[in-house]
Amino acid sequence: MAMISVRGLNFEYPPQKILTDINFELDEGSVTALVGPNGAGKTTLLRCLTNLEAPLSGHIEVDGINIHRHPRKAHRKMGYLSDFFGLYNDLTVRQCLTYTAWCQKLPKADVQKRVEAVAEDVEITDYLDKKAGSLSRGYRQRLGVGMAMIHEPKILFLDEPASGLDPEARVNLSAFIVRLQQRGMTIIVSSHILAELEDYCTDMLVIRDGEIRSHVKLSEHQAAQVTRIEMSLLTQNAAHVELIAAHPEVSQCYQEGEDVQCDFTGDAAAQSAFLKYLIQHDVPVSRFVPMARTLKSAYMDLANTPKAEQSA
Amino acid sequence: MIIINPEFHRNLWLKFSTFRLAAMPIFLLGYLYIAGTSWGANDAVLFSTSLPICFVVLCIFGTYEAAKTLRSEIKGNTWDFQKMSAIGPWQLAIGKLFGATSYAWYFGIPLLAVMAFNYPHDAFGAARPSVGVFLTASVLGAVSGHASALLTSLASLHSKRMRVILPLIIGIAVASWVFKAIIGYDLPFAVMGSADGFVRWHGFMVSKSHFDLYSVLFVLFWVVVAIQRLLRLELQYKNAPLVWAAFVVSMAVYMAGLSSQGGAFIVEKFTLAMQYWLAFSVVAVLLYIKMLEESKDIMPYKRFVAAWRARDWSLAFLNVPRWAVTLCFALPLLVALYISFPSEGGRIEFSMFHLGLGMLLFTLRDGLVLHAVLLGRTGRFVGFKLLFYYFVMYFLAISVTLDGAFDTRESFEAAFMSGGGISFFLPTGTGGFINSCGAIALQCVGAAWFLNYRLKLFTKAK
Repeated sequence: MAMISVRGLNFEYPPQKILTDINFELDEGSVTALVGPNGAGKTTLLRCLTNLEAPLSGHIEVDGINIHRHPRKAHRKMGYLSDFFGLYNDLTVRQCLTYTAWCQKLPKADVQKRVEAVAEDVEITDYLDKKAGSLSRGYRQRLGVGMAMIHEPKILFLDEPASGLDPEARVNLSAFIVRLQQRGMTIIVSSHILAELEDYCTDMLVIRDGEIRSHVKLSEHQAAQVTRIEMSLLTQNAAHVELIAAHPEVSQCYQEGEDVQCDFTGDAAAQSAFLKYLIQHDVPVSRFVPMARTLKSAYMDLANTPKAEQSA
Repeated sequence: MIIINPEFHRNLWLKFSTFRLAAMPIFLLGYLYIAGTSWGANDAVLFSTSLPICFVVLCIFGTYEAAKTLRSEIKGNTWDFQKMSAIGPWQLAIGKLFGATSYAWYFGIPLLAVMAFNYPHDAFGAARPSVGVFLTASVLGAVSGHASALLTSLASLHSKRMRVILPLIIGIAVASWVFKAIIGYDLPFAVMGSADGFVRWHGFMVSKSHFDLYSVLFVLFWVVVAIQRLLRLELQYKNAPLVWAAFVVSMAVYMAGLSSQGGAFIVEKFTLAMQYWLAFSVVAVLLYIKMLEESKDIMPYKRFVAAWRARDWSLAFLNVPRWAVTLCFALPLLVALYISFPSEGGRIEFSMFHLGLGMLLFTLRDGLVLHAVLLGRTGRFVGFKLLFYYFVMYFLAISVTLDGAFDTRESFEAAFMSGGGISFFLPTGTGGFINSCGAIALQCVGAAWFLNYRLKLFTKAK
């Protein structure tokens, strides 16, 4: 069963349509990168999914719960950390976490245990008695994530969690998300920094102009073993490019001068056979580099593909 | 650790630092010492010097704290955390109302105790309220002020110009009014009360001071319910229109009960008709307020239409405009008015039914025009557009029409009594249906056309 199911979601800030007919389903335990340019509607989509904004129309179900009919019940399944989250600066870290645990109606006896467990999880145990206002950006982020997941939600929504963090804090955040993923939590992360999403994302939702342009299941993508191969030819010859494109395992082929790039479906042995095939056909290959398909390249391909082709 | 209410508890953490905890007893002891040594420490002096301090602490400071509590959540970006939590709207309402003002109470309650122990019985002149009445007035006055400030700030939560000042002013005004009302210092219902000091309400004889107390409790109840309903919306619950309907009915019943007061213009045989008239008047006012309020946001209408088209009747019911619900109560009351009000003989043709119908039609016209203007594409300059509309329709136009109306008796009657020029701009109920309601009915048709035209433009622009 899908952990998150969205059907026909529309959202407006009159007179602008922010989200138009959004439909997708995300599996339990998936980690989804929500990517798109600025103003594409990422934050609004996250706020609709967390039921912080009421859409014009559409249905959203989280773990089988209709979030519009049962908002509080749905909220118990979710944690959310917004891009510009705030903390109660005059409270200590322990008070912030305790207050959030009370608000989430955790059993009284479990509250302190849970506070300490979360503090350990997000590595702020040493700061429990410090005021939230005195924490650095990285530790504030950790506390924010801790507050968002104090009630052990099944789903965690993170809106640009890495923004403003130093490189070390970003690495820690990535490691933390990997740990949550291993525990089976469903996570949606909106981010511009695709390289960081690479390590843990299983899905990618590409949003543009308020529409979902593509939902890529990266596992299927990897299973298809699509590899980008970059080649350089000694001479520029259209016949050679046609020969490359005609190969049964080549799905896309692009030429720029003497450089040729192609998407190749097949493992290392197939790549070796492909190189042999090119040499046998007198294609003057001077460079042959199989590249790993990155999230960034997948996103850029989608971004450069016209809308009509994407929907087709 | 006992958890009464998480939101209340959080506020206690925030409001009570060691310094603040110590400040109150130091201040109070210092004040009592100075009062005892320098001012003679007699009851009247202690009471009269404590009263303004208590007013500042409970009424001004407490109301300020209540007014800014939501603003600080929005400003500090912590509101989303609360909205995502499992805390319910009642808990949130009570936690905010008493949590945000907790320090004011910590300071105010000992001051009230000082005043109670030193209460001079001629403290409020002729009204001479007892200590109990004084304490009730102080506590209810403060709670009413805090609740009004919280409600006002909640109502303007998503306004770009959300300020503390308006909720603060409203809160202080309400607190002062409630205090004075219960003390009996300045009876708010004096006009309704008879000379014997009793108010007749639906046949019950209630002393003025008790009636004021019950009225305050009645209003306070609805203010707290309104806070809870608005918080429900914030927490993304859908509010069914039933509570609004209950509010409209209760207001109508409350007002109708006041029909049997003795008064120069009220005759016994009109009592039933007056009940309908008072009930209708308050429903008409609520209808106007809702039309004005709902004209500023097109989204509930769009949600209603979307739900209707999707045949999701329960969702459509939840999104039904509240002015439409109010209209459902206004129309039967208008019919009742038509049936029950005795026709008036005399030189001037006047009908309460026509007056009521005129009020409804004016409400409808204003509602349609304001929807057409304020549902515009940008939603900017809302305040200016409103002011301009009211200036033109209810000041400029009336001033021009009434030019010379007060010169002679004939000109006055021509303007007011025979449904003359003024019926274009105000409901008069005079001169029969055509004279009193004809002009405004035509204006309603024009306003409906204008709204339709604007909606088409609005749709095309997208």
